[in-house]
Amino acid sequence: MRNLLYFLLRYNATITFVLLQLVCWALIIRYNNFQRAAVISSANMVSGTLLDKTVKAKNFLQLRQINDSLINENARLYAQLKSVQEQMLLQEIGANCQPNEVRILPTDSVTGKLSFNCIPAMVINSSTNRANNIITINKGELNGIKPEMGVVSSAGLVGVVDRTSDNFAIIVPIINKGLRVSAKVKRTNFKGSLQWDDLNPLKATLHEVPKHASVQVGDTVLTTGYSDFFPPDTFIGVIDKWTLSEGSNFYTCYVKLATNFTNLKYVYVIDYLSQGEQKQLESKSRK
Amino acid sequence: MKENLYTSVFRLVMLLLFQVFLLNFIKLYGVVTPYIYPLGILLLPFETPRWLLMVLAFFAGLTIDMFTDTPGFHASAMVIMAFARQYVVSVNRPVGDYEPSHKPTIGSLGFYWFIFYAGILVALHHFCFYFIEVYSFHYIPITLLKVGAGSLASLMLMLLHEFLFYKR
Repeated sequence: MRNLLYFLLRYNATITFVLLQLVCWALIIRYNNFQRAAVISSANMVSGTLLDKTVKAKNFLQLRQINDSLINENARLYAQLKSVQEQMLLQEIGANCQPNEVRILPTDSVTGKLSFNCIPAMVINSSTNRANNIITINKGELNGIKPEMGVVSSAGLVGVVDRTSDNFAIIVPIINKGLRVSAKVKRTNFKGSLQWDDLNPLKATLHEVPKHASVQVGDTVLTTGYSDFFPPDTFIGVIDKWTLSEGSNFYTCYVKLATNFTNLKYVYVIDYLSQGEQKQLESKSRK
Repeated sequence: MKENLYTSVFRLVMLLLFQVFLLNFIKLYGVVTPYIYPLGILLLPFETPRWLLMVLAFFAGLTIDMFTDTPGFHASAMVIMAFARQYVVSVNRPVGDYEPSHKPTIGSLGFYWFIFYAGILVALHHFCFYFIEVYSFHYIPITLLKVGAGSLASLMLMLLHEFLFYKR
């Protein structure tokens, strides 16, 4: 007893130190999940290792079922993702678009802005395999879309708005037998008339380019701006092939369209502001 | 000596308040919080019994812990620091040994003595605190950086305190 007291007195500092540290560590471990987890997991190292091995063996035997369930899960998630993406895209499309979205359209050289209003829209229905294809978009009169407005994609010309309802509009694309667009060859500046007559959604035909305008494969085809629907110099495509039939004074050029109608997703409806003015002037001079 | 102890405890309480209501909100470069409250333990007179020193350190650390949601971290670091004080004091003898009138201050034992004494103990405190905080050996370089920078900042503040309340 005497010795014990002596011991306690002699080492009182060390004993206090150890006791206080024990209290501290009790606090540290009790109140902090992270530290507690570390202590418990190291205490369970042995049992944990064994458990881990057992689970691994079990899993190996069940690989087939696990795989099947994962495939199902994957399919389900993929479907969900698709629908969510679709919704997000629908919301994302704003009311007006920026020049960098439609690089093919001319911009005001001073302000850098588009010279006219341009309404982005999403294609919700389209056909490419018929003789008279149409495209339906998710914007309509309420968004300021009117019949006879021109439509382009980020790659090139698409078509003209035909009919509109409050929230939807139907576009007659260039791959429709009913639509003719005034076009020109950029290099030589000779005009022709672009129409679609070989039922291939990737190509259209440019008629009425005169014989003396030498046409080459690879020439760029642009709109002329005569047709009221589109601003001048909108990209349509490049000449893929041309023929000059015996005795004819005009080339027939096959134009590879810049817009891919088979996977068209977004289009931009052009409110070509000078259209009205030009029409007015023209109607006046005819009187 | 009793009176000396009372003023020291009073100073400790003041430093704790200063720490809790001001310094804890400082985060230099988003990482370093200077801790001045260990000075309250460092400045306790040499004659203070070691157990009392440690108990005071424990409660000082616990007070900070209560305000920073780190139960036990500061308390543990402080108890370790208080335990080690005796050894640093005996290693760091001034020219011609300690005298009964000596106090662990710049005014009493000089600048270099104090720098050594406070520097080692503060670094020890910060080392313990930050390693308990990360509780892992995976982040040693960044933790050591914290220890170094934190100790430096804390030491600066302690020197400032010492010069502000300079007493021979």
